[in-house]
Amino acid sequence: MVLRSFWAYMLGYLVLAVRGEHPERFINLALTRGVLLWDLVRVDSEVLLVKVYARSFRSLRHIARRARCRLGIRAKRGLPFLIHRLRRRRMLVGGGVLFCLLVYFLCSFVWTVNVVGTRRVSPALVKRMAAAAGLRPGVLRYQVSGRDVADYLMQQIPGVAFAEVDVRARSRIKIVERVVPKRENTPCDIIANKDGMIENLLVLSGTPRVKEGDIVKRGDVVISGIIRPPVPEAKRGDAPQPSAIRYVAAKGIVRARIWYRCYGEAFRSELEELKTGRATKIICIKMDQKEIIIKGPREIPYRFYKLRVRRLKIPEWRDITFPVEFVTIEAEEIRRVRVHRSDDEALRLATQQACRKMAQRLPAGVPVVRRYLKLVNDGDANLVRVVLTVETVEDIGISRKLQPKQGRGVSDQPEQTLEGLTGG
Amino acid sequence: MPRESKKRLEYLLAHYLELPKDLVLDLPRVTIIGDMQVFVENHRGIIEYTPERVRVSTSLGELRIEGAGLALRNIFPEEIGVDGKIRAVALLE
Repeated sequence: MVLRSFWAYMLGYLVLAVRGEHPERFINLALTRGVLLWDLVRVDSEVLLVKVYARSFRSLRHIARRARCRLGIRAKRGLPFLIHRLRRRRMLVGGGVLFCLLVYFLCSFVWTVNVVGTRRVSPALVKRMAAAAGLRPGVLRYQVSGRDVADYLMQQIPGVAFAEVDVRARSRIKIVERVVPKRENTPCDIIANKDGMIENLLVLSGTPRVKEGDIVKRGDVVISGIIRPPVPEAKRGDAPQPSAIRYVAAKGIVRARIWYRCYGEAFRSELEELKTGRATKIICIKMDQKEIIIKGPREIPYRFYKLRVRRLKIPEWRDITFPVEFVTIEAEEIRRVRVHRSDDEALRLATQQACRKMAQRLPAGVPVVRRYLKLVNDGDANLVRVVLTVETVEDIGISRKLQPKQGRGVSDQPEQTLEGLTGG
Repeated sequence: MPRESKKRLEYLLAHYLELPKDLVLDLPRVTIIGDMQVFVENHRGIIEYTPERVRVSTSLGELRIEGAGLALRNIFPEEIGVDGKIRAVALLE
């Protein structure tokens, strides 16, 4: 059937209206003469619609005369007729071809360059370097080799470990940054990166500044990289020799007890915004002051709603800005409901809120030692407030380059002293 | 040979040699697909066609198809296809 309709389309067929007393006679005559008819439908008592190949129309006229039927052409369908019609409308065909060529032509330029995956390296720098390597808005994309640009980026930008360049009309540069390993050999302290109470301290090198059970603040030196000579006996009373001070990279494990506090609250009675599930989407084009709505209603048909607006602008070229903007507005209807909660419900909600905040604050993979909840009462009958406290034990030591000015007893020109020591 | 006895001989031949009887005896073969389509092979032309009734001439007599919105999908010398809502198919001698 599909094959036949395909051939019918390729060869061209007619939809004929047969009028007469006995169209059956017409059908039978066509059958015996070998004229193929299909899709015979009786529209009403007089008219029979028949499809027939265009080339067999001539012989059908004789048959119709013999069957005493009149023939009328309802429609001419298929490729030959289409070509015939289009021959008289050359500009239409030309316009279609021109459109396709134009789209193809415009697609062969780079329009925008996007940078993803950067953390410390600035995307602007990546774009500048890519432009230097040839990838910038406005160039023909066949003239840009993505591999070359990626190689150039990897060579020229120090922090980039790997770059992948996808050259398209909207090009994308994917950057993976290098993880710089910690420097081990320069003198450094170990400081606390969080407030807490030292639970246990293991010094591998350096001088401990705190002992177990001490409270430390963030930034406090826990293990110092300055090793002083042992204090000489009190009888001599000599000041320690500055030259005898050693500077090392402090090493050690600092485990401390940390407290996290998170606050949560819930109203016993409040207005809540619920989505009704109804949403509309408006797509429009903005030109100067005019708005042309392509799809969707003119006004948002809801009383309360939440909006999400996305704008798409044609990128600037030289100093020409296009005053055209594509705007997509998505509106979701919301409904305001007053919710009443019992004490238990409000408490549970407040606790949930606190727990959610806690889950965001707690570092991953840290063992929780203790957790407790405290109800805060401030007299507001409508509000239930809780404070969730979680105790953990974490490794809080991080190394920081030695800052000599903070060190006690270091000479007046600490920089020089340090430099000299590091070099040695 | 009288016509009846010739027919009988053909029938026996077809029966014993297990030949398809529609070919040997020039009988119509009617295929009905659900209540949507009827195919009639070995027909001898159309007697009547309206959206409610199609009558097809066969060697046995008249085959009557009744239904609603009937359309002749295709007409070949050896096969007629009828589309539409089929209610009844009857063989009238």
